[in-house]
Amino acid sequence: MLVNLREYHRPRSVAEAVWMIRGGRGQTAVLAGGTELVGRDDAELQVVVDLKGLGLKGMIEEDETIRVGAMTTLAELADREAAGTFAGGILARAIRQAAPATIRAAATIGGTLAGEKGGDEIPTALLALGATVILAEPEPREMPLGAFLANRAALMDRAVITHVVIPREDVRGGIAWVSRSPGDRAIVVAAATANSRGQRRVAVGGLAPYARAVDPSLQVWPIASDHRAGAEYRRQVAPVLIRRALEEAGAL
Amino acid sequence: MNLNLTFTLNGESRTLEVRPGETLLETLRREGCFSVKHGCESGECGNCAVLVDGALRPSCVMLAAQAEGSQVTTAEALGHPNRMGPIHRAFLEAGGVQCGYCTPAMVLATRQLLDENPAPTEAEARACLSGVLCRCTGYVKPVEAILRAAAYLRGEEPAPVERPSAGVLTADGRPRPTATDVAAGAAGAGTGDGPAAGDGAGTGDGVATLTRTITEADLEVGDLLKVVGKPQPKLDGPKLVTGRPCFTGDVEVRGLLHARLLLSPYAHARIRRIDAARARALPGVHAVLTHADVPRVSYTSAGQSWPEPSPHDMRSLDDKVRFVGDRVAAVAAETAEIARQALDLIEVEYEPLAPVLDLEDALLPGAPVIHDEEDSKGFGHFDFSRNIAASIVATHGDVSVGFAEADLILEKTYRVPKVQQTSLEPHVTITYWDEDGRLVVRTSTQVPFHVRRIIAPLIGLPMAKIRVIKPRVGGGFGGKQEVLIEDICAHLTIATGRPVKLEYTREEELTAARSRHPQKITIKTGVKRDGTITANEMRVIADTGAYGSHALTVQSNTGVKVLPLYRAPHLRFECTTVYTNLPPSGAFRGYGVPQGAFAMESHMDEVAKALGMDPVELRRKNWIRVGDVNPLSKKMNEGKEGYSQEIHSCGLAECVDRASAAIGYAEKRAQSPLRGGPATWPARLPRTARGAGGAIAMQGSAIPGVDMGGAIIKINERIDG
Repeated sequence: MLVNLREYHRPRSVAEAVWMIRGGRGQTAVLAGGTELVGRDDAELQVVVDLKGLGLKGMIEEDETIRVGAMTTLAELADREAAGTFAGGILARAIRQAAPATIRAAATIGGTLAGEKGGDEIPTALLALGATVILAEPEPREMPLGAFLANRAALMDRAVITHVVIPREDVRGGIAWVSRSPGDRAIVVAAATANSRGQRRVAVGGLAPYARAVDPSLQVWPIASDHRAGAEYRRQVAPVLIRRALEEAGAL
Repeated sequence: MNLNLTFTLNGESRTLEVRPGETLLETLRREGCFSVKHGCESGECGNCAVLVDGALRPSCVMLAAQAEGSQVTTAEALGHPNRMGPIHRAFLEAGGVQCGYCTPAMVLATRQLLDENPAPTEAEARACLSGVLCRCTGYVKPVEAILRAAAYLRGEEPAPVERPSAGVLTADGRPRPTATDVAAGAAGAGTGDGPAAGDGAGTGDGVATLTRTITEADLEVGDLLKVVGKPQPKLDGPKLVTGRPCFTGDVEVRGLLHARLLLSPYAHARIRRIDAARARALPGVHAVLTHADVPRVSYTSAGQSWPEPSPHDMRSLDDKVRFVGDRVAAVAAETAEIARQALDLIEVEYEPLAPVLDLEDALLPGAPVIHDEEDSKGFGHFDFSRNIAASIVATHGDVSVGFAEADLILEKTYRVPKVQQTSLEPHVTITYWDEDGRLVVRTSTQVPFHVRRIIAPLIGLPMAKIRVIKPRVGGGFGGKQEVLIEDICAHLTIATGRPVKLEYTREEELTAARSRHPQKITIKTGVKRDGTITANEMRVIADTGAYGSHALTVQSNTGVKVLPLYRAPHLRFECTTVYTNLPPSGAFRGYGVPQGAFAMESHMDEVAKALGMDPVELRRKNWIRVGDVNPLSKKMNEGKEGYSQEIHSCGLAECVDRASAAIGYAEKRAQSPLRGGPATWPARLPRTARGAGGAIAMQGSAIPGVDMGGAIIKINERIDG
């Protein structure tokens, strides 16, 4: 329950949204789909800034890239062939694992990346696809998704994600995960893409606080442990899942 | 500051004033759309889902303000009992409606699917329900309903719904397969691959699912009976499938106050000081109750006949808390937000005590005593000083004699964790004074008569001044076989004079309601080489949590229904039910048998393995038969002497034979590499293995000498046309 929410704003431009977030008129949060924000029991939150109506929905397919507006829902992303089915459909499969249909109809790609509860499946798939994000500060700045995830909290205090850009490369993809039950969040997820020249990208989620790109020799980080699984389990399954993702991507 | 929201609701333009933090769920219910249900606050259960611009999404995680300019459709738009459409008809015919709480969301999901895809496969029908949770149906019949609705919308007339039957019993008690049965077998009902493998192949007419449910044998009644023995339409189906208001919270009450409970953050603590002055001073707060404000009366929340065979170890509000989630105070205020804010203004000084967080720790010498108060009353055999809420010992013969005669003794321990009923409708109660000066308790309960009797001394009213109304319940499964919140809600109406509504959040459901009793079960079995059981012993430690509702009776059931399933000259059941500082356990469908059956059936497989015997044959050799008397039924009956139970009929052999045949058990066992077979039963998925097995269980309905029922038969003039 957002008991103390007293202001709801719908800015008319991205720049206005950025200034509102930085404005400090009380505890402020960005509202995208709302599936995480509105469910919180938060007595601190006083102001929300809704990004609806800023033209950030929809996907533009260009020769080299697919530009996905940050307010595009996960359902639209998973069901649209361009983004959903290429590279082995790893993005669509990640989305379907991350959330049921009802949540996918409301949650947005921007909200998923911006928040800390978006889960590992989608960022992992996007890292394997070589995605970048465009932030409005309010001037647009493009950065690799990996760099964004490493600085997410600080960046989201002062900027808004406007787009996710996915390169249209001729790649095969693979994705594999383990979860406690078929419908539960992934404990560890690995995704990989490879092109015909043998170049590949591999990413893993569930080992560190956020999804990371890896090289196949697998760096060792201090590994997280939570109610779903301990660190030792994650450490053991991660190489297996990475290998399966690479196999599916035709890279082994 | 409030906002103006303009949107289209069920085809009508509306402009409403809404609070910034108001969810679309609240707005819709306030506007009378009671089909939109509160099941959680995180969008996970989907029972609040509505169509927003054609897409089904949860309304509890959407601010009303986000609906500006949108088209919102709820189940109210699709019809009512006198004007039902093909989706409603299909759900009713297929039997896809049970408690009805999730049904409006399922109907909207079906509508969304069929608007886009008029010929869905079974997999697509299943996927359309993704995100809408149901605790009653197991989803099979709703999926059949969706396929059936699709057929109707395509202008087809699907065959009448037929349930594959186990057969018709003939005069000598042997089944004779029906035509349906034969067809189901031919279509591969025994493949057991599940619907994910196929694309709705069913039996070919597109409305049957790959998963089949086989019902009990039909009675051969022919034309003799018109109603008994024949399928009947669910009488309250139409109002459920059209989302009409019929659950506890589906009413508008003038002057309603909203209640919230302050719950303990400690597992075990005394309340040294509690000061509600600042909370009472908050504008909009009408009452704050602490243990100082209500009479101290001990009771059990267990919904059982009087004298309730559970310890009377609870108070409406107490000066000690015994689990994280235990009641500390109760607030009634003008709005839910004010009630929520008032909780933060109640000052409490706790003296934390060492908690008991594991059921075995409860019995350690020197363990903290959870019920050290003088005015709790135990039932049966108990010892509060050792955290024992109930203990049971029942024997038949002498197991030491039986073990001495055994060729092999196997002893193993099994654990059943804490599982919850998790009905989609939370506990919810509305109390108010009616025009006759009676206190009305409108509540989601399985036990209305017990509610009336149990709360009377707590609130100081005679039963004649209490009226309990039990509307449709959105799932209970034993979780509402409990007087959980009616007392505190009534206290608030008495304190304020106003109607009060108390509805648990999902977090409160998961932490401050009830669950199954976790058990640690050790089974020791003595057998001869040929598999004959010579002695069987079951020793249980059960965790009843902070309060002992159903502590004796659930565990009695574990003994009396499970252990005697296998005949033996010597049996022993021993159970200690302990208090811990964990959320209380209570009644959950199965009532002690699921725990014991899990342990016993796992154990019988282990015994069979140790003997090198087929697990089905081991069971067949020992299971209860016609003419047997349950040797423990007289010794265990809710703390009193029971009744001798002689078995007059037993379909166990027939069930096991038919089930084994249906899954091809013998063939699959022969193929197993464990027995030198060729392992030709292919796994459907990579990196998986497949196995075949089974389990049996014994249950009972009604407690002899305890339960009683009443019925009124009224012969009307003919009013149905």
